[in-house]
Amino acid sequence: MNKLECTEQMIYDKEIDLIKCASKHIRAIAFRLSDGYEGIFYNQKLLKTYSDKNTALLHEYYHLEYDAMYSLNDSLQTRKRREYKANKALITKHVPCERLNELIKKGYHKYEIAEEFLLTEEIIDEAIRIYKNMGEL
Amino acid sequence: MAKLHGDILKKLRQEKNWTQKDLAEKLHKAESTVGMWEQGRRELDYESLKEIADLFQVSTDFLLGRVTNKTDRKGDKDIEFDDFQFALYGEVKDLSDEEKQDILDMVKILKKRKDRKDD
Repeated sequence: MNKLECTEQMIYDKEIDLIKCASKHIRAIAFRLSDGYEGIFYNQKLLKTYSDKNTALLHEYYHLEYDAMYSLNDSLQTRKRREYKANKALITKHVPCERLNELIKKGYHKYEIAEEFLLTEEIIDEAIRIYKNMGEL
Repeated sequence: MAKLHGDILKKLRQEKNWTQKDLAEKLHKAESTVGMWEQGRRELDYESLKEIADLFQVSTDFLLGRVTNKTDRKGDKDIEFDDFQFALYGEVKDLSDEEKQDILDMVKILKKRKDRKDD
């Protein structure tokens, strides 16, 4: 199984409903209903590459897994904190610091590092920032 | 997947004087697919349902035979933003009205899928 298939399997194993959507504005979104039923919608047209899709699905998965969800009335500040929580979970699980460090030292470009992890360059930037803040890079 | 009301799609198509082939071309689908939708022999994914609704300027609930008025949505008041939590992928910002409507539409779909699984 490739990395994307592993991500999809992880979602199915948790009985999270995975659904395609066609919104003009939304690339991916996770939901938790009041009875606990969970779903992730993703937009095939707006997530153009496998890296885009894998990153989006993982990000939404960790929102659910780490209970980092929000409601419409939550402040932007609260939402940013929950976004950070989901990103940090994704990064610590799927961008091992040791390997990231190794690739940087070997002179890999950011797009090559992103390709290795099947993630977006933006999340690699975030990984570098977080690990530097943790004093691990 | 959604159970499209085939007669409704056929009527909308005919109102525009389109053949099944015309409609198929507009939706980038095979003519046979349109035929099967109209005969009720094939369900369609949410993406196609939305495309058809946008093309004919009707609501998805109208296509599904749940309301009789073309632009009405069934049970709009049944789902409130208090009924669920969400996490949107991308920049953290205030939601536009269109994004809010898309979110409510998706929650309705999720609820229906859950109900179908429970049955």
